[in-house]
Amino acid sequence: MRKFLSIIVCKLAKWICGYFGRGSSFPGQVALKICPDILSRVKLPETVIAVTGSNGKTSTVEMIHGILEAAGLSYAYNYEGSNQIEGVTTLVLSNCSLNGVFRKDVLLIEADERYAKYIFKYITPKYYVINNLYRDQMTRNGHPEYVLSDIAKSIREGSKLVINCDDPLVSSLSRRFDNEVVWFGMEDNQYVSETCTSVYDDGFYCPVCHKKMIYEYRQFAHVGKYECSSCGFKRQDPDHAITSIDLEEGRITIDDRYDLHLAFNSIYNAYNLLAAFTVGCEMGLDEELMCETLNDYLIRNGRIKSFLINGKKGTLLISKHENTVSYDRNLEYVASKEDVTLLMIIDDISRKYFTSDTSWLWDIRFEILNKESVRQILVAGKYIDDVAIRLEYAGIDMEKVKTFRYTKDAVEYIGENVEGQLYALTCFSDEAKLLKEVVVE
Amino acid sequence: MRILHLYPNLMNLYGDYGNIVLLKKHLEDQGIEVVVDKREVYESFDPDLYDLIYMGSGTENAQKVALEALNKYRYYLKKYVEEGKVILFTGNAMELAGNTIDGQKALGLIDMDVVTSEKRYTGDVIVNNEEIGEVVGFINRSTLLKGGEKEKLFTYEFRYEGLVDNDYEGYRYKNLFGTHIIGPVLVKNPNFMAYIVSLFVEGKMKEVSYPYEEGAYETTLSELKKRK
Repeated sequence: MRKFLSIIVCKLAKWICGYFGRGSSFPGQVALKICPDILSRVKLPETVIAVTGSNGKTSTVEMIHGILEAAGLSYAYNYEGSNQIEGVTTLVLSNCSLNGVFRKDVLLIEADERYAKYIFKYITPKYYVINNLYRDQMTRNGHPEYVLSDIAKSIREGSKLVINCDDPLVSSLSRRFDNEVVWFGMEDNQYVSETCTSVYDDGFYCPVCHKKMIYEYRQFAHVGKYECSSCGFKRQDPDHAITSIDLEEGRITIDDRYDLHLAFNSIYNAYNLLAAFTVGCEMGLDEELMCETLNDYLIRNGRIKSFLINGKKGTLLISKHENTVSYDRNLEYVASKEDVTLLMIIDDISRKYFTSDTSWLWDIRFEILNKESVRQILVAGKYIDDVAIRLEYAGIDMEKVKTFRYTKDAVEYIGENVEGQLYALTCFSDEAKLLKEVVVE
Repeated sequence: MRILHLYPNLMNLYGDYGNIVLLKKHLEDQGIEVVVDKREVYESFDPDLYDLIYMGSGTENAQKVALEALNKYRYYLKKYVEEGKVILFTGNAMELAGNTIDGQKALGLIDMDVVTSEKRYTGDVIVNNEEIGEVVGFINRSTLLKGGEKEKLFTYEFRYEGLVDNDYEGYRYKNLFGTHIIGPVLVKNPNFMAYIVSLFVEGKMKEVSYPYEEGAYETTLSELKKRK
């Protein structure tokens, strides 16, 4: 009875929320109040796919959705990004019949890495993708080892783990569980480096025994081909791999066989794509059809936008504050362009979790901006001085740096003074401060 | 002078290295020549060669590895501290100076015991020391402390609700300083930085202005005071 009530209330709440354009976690929240173990009482399809990790969850899920669609399977997924138990409950119940039978072929879940342990208390994914673990919002999430221990609590017997073999931290999970593992990764290529290029090195010590780890090469940060000098923990050979990559042309080859073009030229995008491909292979989907779908796959996650200031075109790149990899990636992208002015807005560090902690600025490789081609760096927001200290230490000529307490003043300055290519870099939490001052294209 | 930055790859979870790079600059601004040596856990060092030893934050596992490595120097570090030489431990490195961590023998420099808790305590803080002034920062830890009151460094002015094990924060014994504040605490607090630098300056300090550091400090202090 409670099950029935829970489902019907969830559906009703979803319909009402939809009418008012509200979020997708509230209906699930109400349903869980009525019946806390509702997720274990519904009949789920045989194929449940879950994706977790620090970065690229939404992109990976979007690409899996693409290949399911192309394969003609029916599916449901949490595309609105509500990736905690409430959002997943909404997703599941709104796709169930009133007697609690899930009505699609596949349930696809993006799971928050900290909260996956609550979701998968009731649901056992058939395929569980674990992409990567980076330093991300440590004031809220804790450090990567701490997050790893939460992910470990979410792993259920019988799930097939789909793991990035190049990330030692997530790969170390295979030492703790007997679950079957499918490995995906990237082979040696022209972009790898012998040493760590980030400011800090989370691959310096072995995640299993804490002795020194030796890298043959690194793709970026702690991701690469590693082997512990002591306990034998090492990168596993991938079952599916990016066997060649050309970031200038945006081309990759998967498993020496399939050539694809990337819609967004980045190594991170290539990893997400490979994760989706690997899941598809495990499901026995047609490989050629998958590659056709994933070729030039555009992700509509809105992380790149165009805008105009006084007729001058600018590109907005979204980096999460407190997330080093997402900053480093965008800084590298900006620094690869000619004649650049960069505007960074660091005002509200987090949308949900108020903090004044700026220690994360020391983890970001602002040294990337130390290039002739970067003409000006404009910094706006509350924490301009914190950023300035870091830029000065990065060896950047402070003549190039201008700080503005308010974004409005930076925009005005740009309107009058800036030539060349304009890029703005900020977080979701601060994005609106720019968008209300400019014309969004 | 010589600075020893201990375990910079193991204990560098929150940009803690920023303390050392800026401390070096501030000391140089006072006309002091500075050499920074770095050692990892599998490398040995001679404490007697140094005037300041620093260690920052690490994960709980990393801290255990650091403790095991540093326990070999127990006797020498005791002597070092008694001679009045400077140690600065920030974040969970500060816990190493206590008697025990979860029952395991620690350095025994401060009469305090550390117990891991189920809960993680995170939040912004303002702490105060009469000589140094108000210090701002962030605490992110999953331990509770017992003891250490005699050597307390700071009192709390503002803290996150959950942090209730003690009414004081950090310790100072002779020139051994410890604080749970994570990351570049010296960068964020020009007064704390100046205090540490003053330990190495004979006579009057040269006046040097650090507008960005002072600006950053004022911003955070006023932000946090709004929330008091």
